[in-house]
Order: sequence, then structure tokens, then C-alpha cells
Amino acid sequence: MSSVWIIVPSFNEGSIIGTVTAELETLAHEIVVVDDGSDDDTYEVVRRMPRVHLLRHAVNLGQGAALRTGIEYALQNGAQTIVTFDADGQHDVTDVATGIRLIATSGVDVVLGSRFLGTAAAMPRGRRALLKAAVAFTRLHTGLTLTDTHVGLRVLTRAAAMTLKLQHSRMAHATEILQIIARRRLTFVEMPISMRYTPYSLAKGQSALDSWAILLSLLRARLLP
Amino acid sequence: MTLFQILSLAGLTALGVAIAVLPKGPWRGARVFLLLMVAAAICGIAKPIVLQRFAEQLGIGRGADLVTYFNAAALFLCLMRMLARETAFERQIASLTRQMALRDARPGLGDAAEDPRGECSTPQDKRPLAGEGDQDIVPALRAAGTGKPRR
Repeated sequence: MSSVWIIVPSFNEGSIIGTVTAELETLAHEIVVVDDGSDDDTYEVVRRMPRVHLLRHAVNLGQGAALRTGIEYALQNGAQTIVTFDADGQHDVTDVATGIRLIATSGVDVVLGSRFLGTAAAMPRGRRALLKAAVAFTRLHTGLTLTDTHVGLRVLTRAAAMTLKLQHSRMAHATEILQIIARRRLTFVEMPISMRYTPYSLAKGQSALDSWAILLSLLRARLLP
Repeated sequence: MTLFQILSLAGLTALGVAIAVLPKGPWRGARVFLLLMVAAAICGIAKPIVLQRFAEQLGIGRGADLVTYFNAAALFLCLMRMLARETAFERQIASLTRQMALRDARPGLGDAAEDPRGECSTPQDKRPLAGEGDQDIVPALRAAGTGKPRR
């Protein structure tokens, strides 16, 4: 059993999860798919892949909760390095291998993917502006200087993963992870990655409205810890 | 005394009695607060001048303004209380759902899983899959979790 565990939170990704998981299987690491209460055949597709660890939320909770479930499962099974990976096919599996090498050689706690250091083909202008605004907000909110803040590709040591008790079930978890990194003074490095924007991934991605939801979620957490 | 005052006082008195004799329920913790509010309302309707005097003591011009400010504060407190309850409820649902997922996880078979049909045919495949052992719980949870899908 590999000491590297790749967590893939998945919600209604039945049309693509098989391809994504098959690509990840070429890396010969443990793969955990957390089906976050999908309405489609995501669960059935992954069920036919015996090498994959499969967990299912009975109801849709959000990506943050799915990540927390997957990370907890991996830690329970002795994971030493944990990778988070989006299920919508935007990430390149070769970046996972790079990230794993980087965390092993650099000695940092967390490796964060950055599309702005790498490539992000066909990224819409609106999305770029929204992400840049998120970078500025994160700098004000956490004090961290980053080039990208909402990339699903991250690599964590076991010790770092154990600190991630995510409270935000939905998309605000990405900001919460950075808050934890800042609060716990975890060491990190950004890694250039390649992102593929497709009509499918854009349809599944976040909108400007979602960013307001994230802000409200963070505010609510401040008021009601 | 006007007809409005008589009807209002009768209604408020009935409400006060109902609150006082309420059995266990969601309002039990706020019973004293609610009774105080009813008493203040009775006082304000029966003797409006009392509210006026009290408002003047506080530096507020009119008794009606005092009622407005008080209502705004009470509404805000109620909203915060509801939000806190909703947050706690969401966390309980999330915790329960995550525990069920961890309990019913299907472990991967690693490199040993080579099946020409692409199907998992080992005894592990015979295990109950996630949620299958909870047919009575899952529909209830799904009902509780209805709403906008969360990514």
C-alpha cells in the first residue's frame, strides 16, 4: 500500500470521474473518491473500479466536508502524504507527481498548486478577475502572499493534514485551509500547475455569486464560531 | 378605554397565560423574556403614558420610538438565535453523514485488484456498500438535506 493518498471529492461527476480516476491510477498511489451525495451515476461508476477506495455521503454536504471525510479516512489508514485533487478533469496528473516530489525534497508542510505560476489555458477573463480578487482578499484576511488561492490541487504532509479540521462544508473551505496554514504557521510553497478549462469544468466551476456565498459563510463563522 | 385596547388587552392576557402554562417546548427557555414582553405590551396599551415617561427617562422622544427600537433589537436577537440553531443543526447532519461514510467505506484493493471484467468480484464486494445498511436513515437524511446542491 502506498503512503501517498489522493483524495478526490466528487459531486455529480459521473460523466468524467471514470477518466479522472483512471488517469490517477497510473501514478500507483492510493485513490479515495468521496461521492458527496451525487444524484447521477458517480457512485456506480467508481464502484466498478476496485482499486479505488470509495466513500459516499448520504446527502450532499459540500466539497469541504467531502475533503474532510476523505482526509480522515486516509489518515486512519496510515497515509503519510495526502493530495487533494478536483474531480472535474481540470488538473493534470503529472502535477501530482511533481507535488509529491516537491514536498518530499523541500521539507515544507504544504504544497499549493498555482495556475498563475503555471498555465491556465482558455481561462475566461471574468474568472481571472474573480480569482485575482480572491488573492487580494486572502492576503488581507490571512496575511499570506500567494499567487492563487482556490486551486483544488494541494499536497500535504500527514502532520499538516491532521490540523485540517475543516468546519466549512462548502466552498469556503479553500479559504479556511489558508487560514489554518497562517494560524498554525505551516510552511508552504507554491507549485506551477497546468489547468484545463473546458465547457464542462466551467459549467461546474464557481460563479461570482458563489464568491458572495463564500464571503457570507466566512462572516457567519466569525459571528457564530 | 377603546375597543382596540380592550381586544388587544384580552388577546395579550390570553397569550401571557398560554406562555405561562406552556409545557416543554422550543420556547421554554425564553419564557421569562416572553412574559416580560407581554407585560410591557399590556402596560403600554393600557397606560400609554407609562411608555412615554419611560422613553423620556431614556432620552428617547416618544414611547412609539422606544417600541420600534426594542422591536428591532428583539428581531435581531431572534435571527441570531435561529442562525445559531441552524448552524448547529447543519454541523450535526454533516458529522453524522461523515461518520456513516467512514463506517461504510469500500476499501480499495490495490494492485491485487485485477479483474478482466472490470468488476470487483472479491468477497469485499459482498459487503454492504455505503448507505445500503441504512435504508431507513438515508431517505430521512436526504429529506433533511434537500436544497441547493453544494459543491
